[in-house]
Amino acid sequence: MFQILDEHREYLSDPNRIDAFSRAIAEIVKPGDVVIDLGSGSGILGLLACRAGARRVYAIDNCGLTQLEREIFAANGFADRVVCIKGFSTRVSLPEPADVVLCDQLGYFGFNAGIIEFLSDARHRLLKPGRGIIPARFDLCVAPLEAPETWADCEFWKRPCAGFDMTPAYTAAVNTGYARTFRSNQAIAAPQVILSVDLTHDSESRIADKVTAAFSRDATLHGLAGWFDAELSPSVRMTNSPFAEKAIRRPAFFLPLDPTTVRANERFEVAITIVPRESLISWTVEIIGDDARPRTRFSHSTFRGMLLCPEDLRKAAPDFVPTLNDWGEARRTVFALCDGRRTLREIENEVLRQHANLFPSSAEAAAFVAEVMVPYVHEDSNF
Amino acid sequence: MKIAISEDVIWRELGDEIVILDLATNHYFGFSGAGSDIWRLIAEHGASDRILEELQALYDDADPAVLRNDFDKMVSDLTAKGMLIVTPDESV
Repeated sequence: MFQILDEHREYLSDPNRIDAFSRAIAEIVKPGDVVIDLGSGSGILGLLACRAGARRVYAIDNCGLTQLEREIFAANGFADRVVCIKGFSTRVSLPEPADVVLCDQLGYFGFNAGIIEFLSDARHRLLKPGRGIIPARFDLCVAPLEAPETWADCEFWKRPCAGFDMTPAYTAAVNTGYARTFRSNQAIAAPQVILSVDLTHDSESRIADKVTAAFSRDATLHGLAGWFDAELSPSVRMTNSPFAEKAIRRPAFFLPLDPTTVRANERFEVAITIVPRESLISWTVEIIGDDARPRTRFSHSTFRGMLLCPEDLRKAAPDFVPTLNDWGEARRTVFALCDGRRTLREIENEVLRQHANLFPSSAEAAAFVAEVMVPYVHEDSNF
Repeated sequence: MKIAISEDVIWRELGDEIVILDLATNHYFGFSGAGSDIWRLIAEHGASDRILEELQALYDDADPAVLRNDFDKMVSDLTAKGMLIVTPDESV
């Protein structure tokens, strides 16, 4: 709880983020509009929508702040205009279509916090056709970096720890993205827009493109900085670019490459592929030699950085025939007992009776039943 | 014939196994043993004659007809799933 609250304190104390959303919402939201805030957190975007004249705000989030958010709306006199819903937006149905949908689920590299999937679902199910989406689109940008301190976090795994060999982790470490801040003078080429995502239309499941540019100085290349530059409204942009004067405080994304000496005016090509549904990114960099042919090529992917276990993968194979273990049977029991007649106490007692080998006490059976049941049971209507 | 891995497929090694993610279906596949060797050879060479040569060298005590049959079956299955793209050699 304290971590969640502190995370939202960070968001609220970022003046450039608040200013950007304030101006964009004032530009897009009209008096009388119905507005949805996906991932509403402390409710700040909903508050701004109310200030802009929204008739109704549906603030949806599955984090633990829902009741606090209600109290914040009430403290500002908006309790009668806002419906706070605890749950995943992709599973929520609303009683009316919205005029505007807001979403700040922009990850360090834009796509990797779910914004594409959340907005796609909301656009199809919850929004009036062709109406407002904030943000409407975002660019993904990259710049090659000289970043020895950040690279050292990858190389860490090549060094022994207490005399033990840690090198098996190295491959995963260099195929992982890192949230980091950078100084603009660490760039060794001008920033490039490599991909653009239009959130007002469906995206391909795999988005890929490449850019070619020249290094601006002699340096050692350690990786790429990646960041987003989002269009919140026709006149407002918001970015976490390390090179922007009014960037928000969100760190950029570091994509490591094997350290390589490069020369001023030498050309390079960066290719990026993202798979939003899997939060997956692949990056390839070629340094072009004097003969116009690649002299060095690096290819990385977070797929190779995933901490996979063969035993888990075998369970994910399409021809795998699953059978429930004891814990699965206990879950099945909970679902079967939620029949609209039994009380929670009766369900807990029955689960404990049928699966006594799993639960040392009734308290542990009760905790298990709550964990299994809460996300899937009907509750009183929010509306 | 030429054999290419679909752009919807990404793969990696995991120990001795090959792990494949088919983005078109969101399914993960795993190959071990000869299956992983065939996959590596497809990725490296992309031409059936060369792959079969290399496969025979790896399994030099295996019956060439059995190897050929295993190879054809795997390529056929994965092509049907859209994970491999097979094109005949151009005629001269």
